[in-house]
Amino acid sequence: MAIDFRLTARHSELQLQSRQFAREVLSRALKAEALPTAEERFAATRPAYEAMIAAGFLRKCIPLSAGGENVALIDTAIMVEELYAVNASVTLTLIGTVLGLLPLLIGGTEEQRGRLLPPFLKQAGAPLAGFCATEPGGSANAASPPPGDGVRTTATLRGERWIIEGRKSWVSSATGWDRKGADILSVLCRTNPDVPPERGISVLVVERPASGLVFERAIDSVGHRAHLLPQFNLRQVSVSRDNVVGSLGGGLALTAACFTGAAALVGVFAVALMRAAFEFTLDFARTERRGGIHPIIEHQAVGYALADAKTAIEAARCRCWRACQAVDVQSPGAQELAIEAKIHGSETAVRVLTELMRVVGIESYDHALPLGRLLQDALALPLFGGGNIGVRRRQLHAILKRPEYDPLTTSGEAEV
Amino acid sequence: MIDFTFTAQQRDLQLASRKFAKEVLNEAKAAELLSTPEERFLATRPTYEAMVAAGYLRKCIPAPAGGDNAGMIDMAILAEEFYSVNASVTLTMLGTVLGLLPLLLGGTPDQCMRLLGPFLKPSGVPLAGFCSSEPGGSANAASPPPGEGVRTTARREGGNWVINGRKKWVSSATGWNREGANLLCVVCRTDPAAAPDAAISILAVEGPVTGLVFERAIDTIGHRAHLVPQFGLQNVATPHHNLLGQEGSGLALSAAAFTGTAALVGIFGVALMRAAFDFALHFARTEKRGGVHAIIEHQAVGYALADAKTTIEAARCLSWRACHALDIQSPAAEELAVQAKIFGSEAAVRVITDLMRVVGIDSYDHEAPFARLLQDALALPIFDGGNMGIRRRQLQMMFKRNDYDPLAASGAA
Repeated sequence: MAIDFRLTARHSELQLQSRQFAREVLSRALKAEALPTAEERFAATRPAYEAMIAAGFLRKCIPLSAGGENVALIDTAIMVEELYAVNASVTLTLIGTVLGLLPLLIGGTEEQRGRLLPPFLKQAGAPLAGFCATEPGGSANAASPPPGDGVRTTATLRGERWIIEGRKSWVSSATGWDRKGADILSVLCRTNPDVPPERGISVLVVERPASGLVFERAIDSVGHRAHLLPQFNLRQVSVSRDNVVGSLGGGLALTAACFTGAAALVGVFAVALMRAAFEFTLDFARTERRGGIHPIIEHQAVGYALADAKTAIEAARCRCWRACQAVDVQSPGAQELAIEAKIHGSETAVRVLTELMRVVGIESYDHALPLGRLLQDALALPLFGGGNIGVRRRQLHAILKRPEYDPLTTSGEAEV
Repeated sequence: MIDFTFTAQQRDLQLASRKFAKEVLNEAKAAELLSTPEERFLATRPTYEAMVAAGYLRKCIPAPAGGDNAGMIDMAILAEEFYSVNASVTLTMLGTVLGLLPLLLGGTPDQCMRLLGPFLKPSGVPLAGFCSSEPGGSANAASPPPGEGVRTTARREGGNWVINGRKKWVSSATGWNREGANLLCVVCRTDPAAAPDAAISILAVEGPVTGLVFERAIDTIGHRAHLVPQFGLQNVATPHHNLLGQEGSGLALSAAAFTGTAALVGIFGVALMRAAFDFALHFARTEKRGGVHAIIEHQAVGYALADAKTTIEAARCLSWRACHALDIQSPAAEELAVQAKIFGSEAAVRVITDLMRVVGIDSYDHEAPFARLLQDALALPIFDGGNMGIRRRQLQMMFKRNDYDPLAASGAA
């Protein structure tokens, strides 16, 4: 092995299969985005989501060791770029479900996985999972000691059951297709208020149906319009002691681990959106004369704007692949690279999409063209999955402050 | 398969280069303080000699041509280590490699055998220059009339080509003593009547060069100990068998040479940013600036450092990608190399400026390295094919082609 960017035959096959599926199935689901309410839009994606499951795409995101088919994050990246470039909402429903399963996949016991994963492994139905971390009032300071709120949702042990009480917000698909809950909710909650947060917060799995899950509202989001982002209550939601995932009190660390792999994928989301926008804009520039004598791509300002966009796309894709591979091989630089991929990709996407709109001009302001929707989707990327200002840059800051930090750890790792 | 790890040999190369840079290249920085460009350049001669003696020039010449180079990724590894310590001297070596590229890419085995000798032995101070740029500008080298295009001409006289013209911004072209580099590859118009893509050729001229007229050593903003002269060629004769590649194919050969270098300019950007980051990180971790704690505790500082490091990693990745694409002769290599150049060069200027703001006023003192690093970085967007006049234009032309596929450069077509 050495520095290489070529796709293996298996990768190429996965890529082409994903691209074809996206073109044939996911593109049709885009019309769901035109329906009037968030819940209607989400419900309208169910057939497309079911088709994704039936085609094996969820299994492809679950590790081999857990009964799925995934062998590497980079495989997920290749697949996700194809799907997200066509339909961010539905693809995020898939990846949000994977995120909801990550505590189990990373920190769960064999018994827990054996018990809880099967609905996600069979290529049928429309199983959903949600990672319930974020809360109304904000969660960038989840690790705050008093007098900060930190994690506000609590769990109290009564006999053999944990009783969860709290509110959550912005959790993909959490309330399910019918307001009665996703199949699995991984809930971040305070299990011991008397110790510091690093030892007092845990992840508990809530299985459907959970009485006490109370739907408040489906957030009307700026983009990812057909993706469900509910706000909801957990009122005396009871779970067995066997549903603590990872060590009791180790919830913050487990959450951070889950969000590291996810970070690299957010960079891939960004590449996907930019790629779709670039394709459209390039085609527009090569065909539209806008009343002038030649297609607008002949204008240097247009050519240069396209050049800059494409440059940014290639840079973002490269560094996301690097982050994915670093996570796959558990490189010491993996966390740093994953966070950087998230920050860079997400912010680049917002900037590049705005610039491509300027190339197209006023027509880009029409929803009949894709650029508006793509930008609205992109706007989420710097803010979710750990917001870039409140969470992600803070993580990098903490990494850089470590006395043992060596900037060159990320360059020059030799094969073992 | 997608991979970012070095081989054991590459890791060794990286560590050995780092050590050499620290022990040898570092000392040559003192040269930058002398008063004139020629004094500064001459003061780097012992260091350049040491680089050659240690085999580093050979490491940049492909194995099939008798050198020790194993590919662009290896060049990138070496270049990053060297350039981050001493841009001037490193550019003298890499500018020499550029000067050899028309020969390596377009020359016959016989020409290579005849002309490469001085560059293959690990001794001496051999220099080569790629004489492309001219006073008045060369972004429009391919222009038809009434544009000037390439102004330097060459005509056949007996068994020779006779060259007349002026060149500028050519690394090391006039050599250590104003008599010329060991080898000059000169872009010149060999057919006054033909269209540009058939009119221009590259001629090899061996030093010392009779008719080379030194005009001045440009006093540059950065790369202070690197020689970039302006000079005339007055009836400079070179045997006809020193024509490189096909007569009239000079623009294509020139473009091929500049595609290889483009990916490395991205690495130059990484190298300069890395050096600046190193200093800024250390400063932030140790300096309190009169406050209660080291300034790295401040969020604005931490975030600025985070942003700088994020950019460095992106630039390095994209440059490696371009280098790899060149190594495997991917059809996407030209696009990626140009993008790596644009991205890395412009990132360097921006990031180094941002890091100066983190350090504050003390970065304005030449005792801190930022001024020099920024002055060096300022060259990157404008040399080796300026980003406005040449590089972005190259990308625009690619996009206009009917067969252009945006996904080709993504391994994704």
